Amino acid sequence: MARRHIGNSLVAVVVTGIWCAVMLIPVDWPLTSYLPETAVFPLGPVSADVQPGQTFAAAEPFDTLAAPVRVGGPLDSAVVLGTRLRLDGPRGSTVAESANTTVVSTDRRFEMVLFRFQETQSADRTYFVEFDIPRGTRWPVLLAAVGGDTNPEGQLFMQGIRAHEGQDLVYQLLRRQSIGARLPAWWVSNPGSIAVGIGLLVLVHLTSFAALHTLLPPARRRLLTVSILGLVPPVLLAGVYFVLLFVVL
Amino acid sequence: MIAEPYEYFTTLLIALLPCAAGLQIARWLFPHERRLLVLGGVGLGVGIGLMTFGIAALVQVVPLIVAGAAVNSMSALLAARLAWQWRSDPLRVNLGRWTWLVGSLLLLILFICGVEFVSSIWHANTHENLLIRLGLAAHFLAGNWPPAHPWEPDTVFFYRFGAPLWTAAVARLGGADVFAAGLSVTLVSVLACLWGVAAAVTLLTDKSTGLLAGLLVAVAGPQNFLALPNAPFGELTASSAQKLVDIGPARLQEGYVLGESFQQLIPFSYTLVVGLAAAAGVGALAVAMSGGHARLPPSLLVGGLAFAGIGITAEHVFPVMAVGLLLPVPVLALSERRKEALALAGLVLTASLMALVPEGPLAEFAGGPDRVGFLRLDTRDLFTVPTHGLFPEPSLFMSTVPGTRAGVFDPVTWKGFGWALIAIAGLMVVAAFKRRIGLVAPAAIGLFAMLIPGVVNDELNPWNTWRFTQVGLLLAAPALAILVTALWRWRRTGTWLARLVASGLVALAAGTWLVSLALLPGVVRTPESPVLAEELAAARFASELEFPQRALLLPGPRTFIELSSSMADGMHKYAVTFGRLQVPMGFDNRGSRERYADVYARAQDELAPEDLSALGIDLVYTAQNHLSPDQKIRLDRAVAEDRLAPVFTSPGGARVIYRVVGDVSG
Repeated sequence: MARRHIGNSLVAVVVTGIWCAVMLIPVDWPLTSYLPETAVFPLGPVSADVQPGQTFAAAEPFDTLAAPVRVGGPLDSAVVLGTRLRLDGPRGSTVAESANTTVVSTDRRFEMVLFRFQETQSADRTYFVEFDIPRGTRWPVLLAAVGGDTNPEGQLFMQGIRAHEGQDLVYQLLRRQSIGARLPAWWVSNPGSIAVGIGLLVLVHLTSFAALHTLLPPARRRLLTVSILGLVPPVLLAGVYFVLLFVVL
Repeated sequence: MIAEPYEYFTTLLIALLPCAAGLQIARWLFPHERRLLVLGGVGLGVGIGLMTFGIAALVQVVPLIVAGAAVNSMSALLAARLAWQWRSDPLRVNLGRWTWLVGSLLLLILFICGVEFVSSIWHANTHENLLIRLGLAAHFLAGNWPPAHPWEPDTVFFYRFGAPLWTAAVARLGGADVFAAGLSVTLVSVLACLWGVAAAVTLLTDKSTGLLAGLLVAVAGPQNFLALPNAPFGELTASSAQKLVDIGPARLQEGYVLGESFQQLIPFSYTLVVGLAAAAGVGALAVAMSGGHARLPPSLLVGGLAFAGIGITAEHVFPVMAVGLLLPVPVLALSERRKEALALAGLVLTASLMALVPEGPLAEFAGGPDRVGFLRLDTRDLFTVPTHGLFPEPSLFMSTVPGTRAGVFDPVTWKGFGWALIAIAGLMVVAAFKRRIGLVAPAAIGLFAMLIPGVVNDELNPWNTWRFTQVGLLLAAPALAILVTALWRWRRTGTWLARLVASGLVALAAGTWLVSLALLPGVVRTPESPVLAEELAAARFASELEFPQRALLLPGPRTFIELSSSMADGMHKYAVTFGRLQVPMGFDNRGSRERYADVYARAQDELAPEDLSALGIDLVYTAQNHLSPDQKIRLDRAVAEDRLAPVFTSPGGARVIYRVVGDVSG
């Protein structure tokens, strides 16, 4: 009897731990959509003398800016890049600088590079992001851009001068938050998804509970045991999804 | 138009009426059967088949409201009789320890199907339901008989209208609009389809196999999950989660060889699910007839009528079903069971004759070879299956040279549907081993359906015959269930190996469904129309005008590809379905495109009175937030010259409807 209680308690602790991890570990959430690959063209080579930048409006607070970058050297060639955020435009005051990031040449078309800022930048302002490419960088650097004015509130700049109208750099704004902290924002923007998610979660748990109830021999079908063990498959599944999506991939 | 809460309840009750009636009929047909699993499986599907046949036959002589009321009144009487008889002679649920699991899985599957249907209407998760199926149902509600094609209003829509007719009847009797009615019809059909499959396989084998067959039909799909780690998702986002949500379950469950999960049929075209539900019921009835469990003469009549209902709901299922029922006839005849053999042959004959009563595809076929001249018989493509290579979009999961067809045994087919090929071959081995020829049925019918597009080609729209392969792959799921339980129960040497293979086959079939489960919330993430309230206000205004009204949409689609898109916030679909408008644009190659396409395009470009008049346009329906400067100028000029008069402006001004002033007799 005591061994069974210990076993149940252990399982309960493990599943609670997994749920806590899923709900509380902070991960990078994209705040803006990415753009279809077909519309993208490589912009560059860019350098300290041909410095690219982009204006954009932030609808939500963000702490990371991601941009696709290609290093044009042999495989494994590395360059160090950074970004600077200014208010309103290329001549605005600097509000943040990202930590420098090393980008390596790979066999992919672009590598998505994260530029993290120390402090969360506030929403409802117009920013100008400027890419810092150190003078003397050995390999050509290319960024990704799109035509068709896919970002009407923003504009591509080259060396502080407006580039062709209707062209934009490809970038993504992200915020490092846990699922738990993100839920209120999702509830406002996507209530349907949240409702479906909750419904799905309840039904998957119910199915797992029922599966266990069916498979266990009658003598072992105690409500508490089945309830706790029934939590294991969906929680493990959720944990595996979380690790795959935010850690491995 | 997003339904009132009571509408879900009333429409669900009315959609369940034919099922209850069918259950009572099944009791009468099987006097010695008391298992709810069997009688429900037969009854629900047969009831749906009878309902679609009955309304389609009656609506040719009386208005829809009368036809719907008559068939549903009969159903209500039978349902009352069922309830009365249940008190003294209840049916046995008899699921034993499986009860909880079956119940919760069914809830989960119905929930997923409901979300898929909702997303197909409001979130552009595929376009066909809103574009044409519910559109036709809405037009039926407005009195559209004979069924004028919403996009080619001078021609009759003669195929696949059984489910929209039933939906319209449910909506009218339930005091609801077509959205709630369509949702109820879909959910009830899913239930009937899975229950029917479970009943048919239970009658062929046993209860556990039957239940597994029902489950596998719902979850089996292409083995895309195997290739997920190598899929080139793109390099332009920092979040794998976002990539997967954007790809969505639809793309994940789509095979390169043309086949997908049952779940994907619902947002694509719920009509096919209604047809499959009836087919499952008739199939279960046929199994009972061939096993001597049913009263033959009444089964022949009831089954024939329900089977005929399939012909006007999902014509792809009708010939597959007919061949499936005729396959065992020689075997039964040779084994001295001539009565059963005659009964099955008679069922196909009755259905074929009855299917000529409503004006549907079979009546069209019987009308003469010139009317089906677009069908070509050719054996050059025998033993090949169609692929998504026809479309410009490459598969995410298959690195292969795009081609419109693949060999049945090509690596690409094994990679996508290996479990189905093993199930079909394995079941034939099991049947031979057990010396039970009847077991071959699901495998043989599945194989037959898969190979039809290798022999019959629809030159106007290849997609129409290619759907047979989808039906065939769905039928491989019951075959897999029988094979898996046979392996699981293997008692000779290598039991563990047999069980390992059985588990592996189920994992291959269901893996993609399981992986895509977590992506379901993504399908209801963003509404298709950012101005939905204005969209629906404009549609409501149009629906209250006298039917029919012909509209020119500005901007709006001109081609079939544009029809299946979200251009101008998807306005064209909402206008045609919820606004009950006819748009003389020309639909696809199968219809009369040439009659409309050029004039409609010119009318959109120039708004010239002679073009509007030639098309009989009453209204110009505009998305102001998507008009080009040129279009705005032309509209303003037409209003200034009193050729158009604004009759409706939505509260935010995003939708404006103009009436064409002058003669539109065309």
